[in-house]
Amino acid sequence: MAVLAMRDALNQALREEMKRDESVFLLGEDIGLYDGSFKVTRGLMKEFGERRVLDTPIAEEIIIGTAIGAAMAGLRPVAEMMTVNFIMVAMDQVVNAAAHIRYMFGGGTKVPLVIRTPGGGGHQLGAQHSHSHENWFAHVPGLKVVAPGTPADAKGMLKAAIRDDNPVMFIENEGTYAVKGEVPDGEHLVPLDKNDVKRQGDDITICAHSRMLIVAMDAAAELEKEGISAEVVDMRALRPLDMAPAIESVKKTSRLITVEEGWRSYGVGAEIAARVYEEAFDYLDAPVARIGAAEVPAPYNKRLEKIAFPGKADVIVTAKALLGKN
Amino acid sequence: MSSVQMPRLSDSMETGKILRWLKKEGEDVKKGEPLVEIESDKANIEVEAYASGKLSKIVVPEGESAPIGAVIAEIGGDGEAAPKSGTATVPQGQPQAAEPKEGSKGASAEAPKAQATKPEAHVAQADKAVAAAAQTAADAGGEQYPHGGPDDRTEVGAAAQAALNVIRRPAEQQDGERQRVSPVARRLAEEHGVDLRQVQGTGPGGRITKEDVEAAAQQKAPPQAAVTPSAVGPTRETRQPTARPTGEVEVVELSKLQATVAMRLAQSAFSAPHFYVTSEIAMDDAVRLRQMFNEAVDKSEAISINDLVVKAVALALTKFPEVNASWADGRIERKRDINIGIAVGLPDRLIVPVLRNADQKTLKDIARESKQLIERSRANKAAAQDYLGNTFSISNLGMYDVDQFTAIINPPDSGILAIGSIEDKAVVKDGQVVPGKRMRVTLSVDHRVFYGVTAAQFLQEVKRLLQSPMALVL
Repeated sequence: MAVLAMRDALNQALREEMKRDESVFLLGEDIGLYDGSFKVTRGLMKEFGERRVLDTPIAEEIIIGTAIGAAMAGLRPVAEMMTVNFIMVAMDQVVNAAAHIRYMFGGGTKVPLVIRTPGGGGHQLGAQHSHSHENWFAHVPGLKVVAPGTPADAKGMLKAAIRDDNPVMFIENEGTYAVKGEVPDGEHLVPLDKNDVKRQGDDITICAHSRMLIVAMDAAAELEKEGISAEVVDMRALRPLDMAPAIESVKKTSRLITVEEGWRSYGVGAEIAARVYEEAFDYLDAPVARIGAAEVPAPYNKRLEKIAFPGKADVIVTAKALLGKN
Repeated sequence: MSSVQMPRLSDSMETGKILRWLKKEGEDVKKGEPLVEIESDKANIEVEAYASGKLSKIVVPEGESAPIGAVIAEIGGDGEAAPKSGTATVPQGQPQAAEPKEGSKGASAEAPKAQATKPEAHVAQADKAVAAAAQTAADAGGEQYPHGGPDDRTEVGAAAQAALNVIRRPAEQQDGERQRVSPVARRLAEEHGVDLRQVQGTGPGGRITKEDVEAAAQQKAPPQAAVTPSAVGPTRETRQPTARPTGEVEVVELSKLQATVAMRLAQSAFSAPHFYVTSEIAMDDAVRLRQMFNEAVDKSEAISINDLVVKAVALALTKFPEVNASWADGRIERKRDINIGIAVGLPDRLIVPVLRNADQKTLKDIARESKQLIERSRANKAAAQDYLGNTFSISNLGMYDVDQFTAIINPPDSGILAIGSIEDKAVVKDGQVVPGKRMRVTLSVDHRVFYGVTAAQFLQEVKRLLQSPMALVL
């Protein structure tokens, strides 16, 4: 068990899988000579050579298209989209090709592809570079979508994603690459379809994924000081969405807050809330509270940006309001 | 006085080299003015001052390097007010993402320079420096903080506002008399027979919450000593005969729970075609077993005859899935779980708490759990779950000197076993008349779900288990 930053845990997963399976290769912008924009692929080109770590042109549609073709031909590509903002020009490849081809060929082919890409805002990068699009992908049958929030889960889920025979959207977050945590050495696999409770509590349930998991954990620690016991459920498995831990938790606490970095409308929290209303309506003591980014294109202005994205304070205030304590 | 720290100018940067100080020691610096030129691993960048004042000290001279976050200069506070402190204004913004992206997307490394003339850019640049310092601290300590330091915002952002609006939404006007009740509160009110019209909501917007209903239920029926299945002899107040006009009728209003019980029993009696099968069971060995068991364990772990019956019924049900079933709208649902409802009569109501997975529990567990269940029910502290999920029920009037009786099936079950008293009887054994302990049980059956032969075989199995009670201990 070593303490690793998120970026190093991901790097370890890639290195281990490339060593284990020669059909695994990486492609993306600046991932080789430059070690990747966020240094996730550091040292891999040196170790595995230019045939297995491909620096591509700045052409996202070609990156994904190439990866899909390679996957159908028997390789296991891991494509890096420098950020999720850039994948929008390649959505046709992601949805119409990667997600649907296996179905349209009646199972005659498969697309064992991983697309790694960070989302998230709050870095003063303006409206076009502050997106969280995991709900877009989670809407599409044929894709698997995961968004881990701890280094250990990042490693275990990336390894599992590479071994999965379906296209997996592996959503990272620009704001979590430096986050550190204990990571099991060597063979550590985390299933792509299991969510879990990251902190036990009795009074209120908080569902969150990716960077918002960290915000939720932090808010829960603060709430504890005020005598409010919050249970935090990590929604790292977004599609297929594992609701079991969240439902079980809501049946215990009767109150739910969802936190996501993207917009609320048609978002991850909206889906979680709907499932809770379907499966645990009679256990609710208050409406489900959804926290998400303000419904505006992300502001560049620092102070506006700060109030546009969810933070610890939002979770704390909402939790107290749900409990009628403010 | 404020410190100038080595900013993080790219994601991969670890140290920066001071190329040129653009101000001399002792010179005045204005917030936003270019202060120092720094070489990172990617580019040479001019960094602006984020405070005004005298450049009182250059800590890192030209040509030398310093790690991110290290103090490279001090600015005294003669000019504009300097920020209170570095950490107090830690922004959410984290500069690391910007730089590599710009560079690697093909933008010129001079981009930051080009921005440097705009005042907004100065602020951003300065904030980045602070953010970089905080990020370094987070990196060093491995803090769980991704965003350039602790989230210091204490006011509510737009993110929470929408959620708060929902939570605190006042009742709509046309709602009129409609009370706001949370789903779980409504369900509990029904189960505890609490009249919601008498409850004051304390939740946001005046909503009646789970807590409100629980408090009301507690008040309504303070815990009182009542009969338990193992208790002996209820006492009733004898009404003093007083002279009163004839024809007087006392009207008793039903609690909501009583009304529900009445409705469900009527529904069961009038829609499920009942038939009854009675059997007499030799309880000599069971009584002896209970005695031996209770001598061997602590008093608090003692078992009752009812516990033996529960266990025998649960074990018999494992062999008769057709009995552990429900009539469901023209179909039969066979239940995998064996959850035994135990009818408990209280002075003002009838309740049936449910002992879950009784077939998998030891006698000790059954005794302990049913004791707790019944106590919780009597004290009005039972959870909703305590009353849900029954698949078969038992009604025991054995302690009231009852030979035998028939019970109405407790929906959604399709069978209920009515237990009479254990009586000392003269019985014929091996051609001799000897004393024996006998108990009569009567099975009520929903004839739509299973039939007479099955009912008889099921009773035989219950009888076999109670007559060879070692099977209940194994």
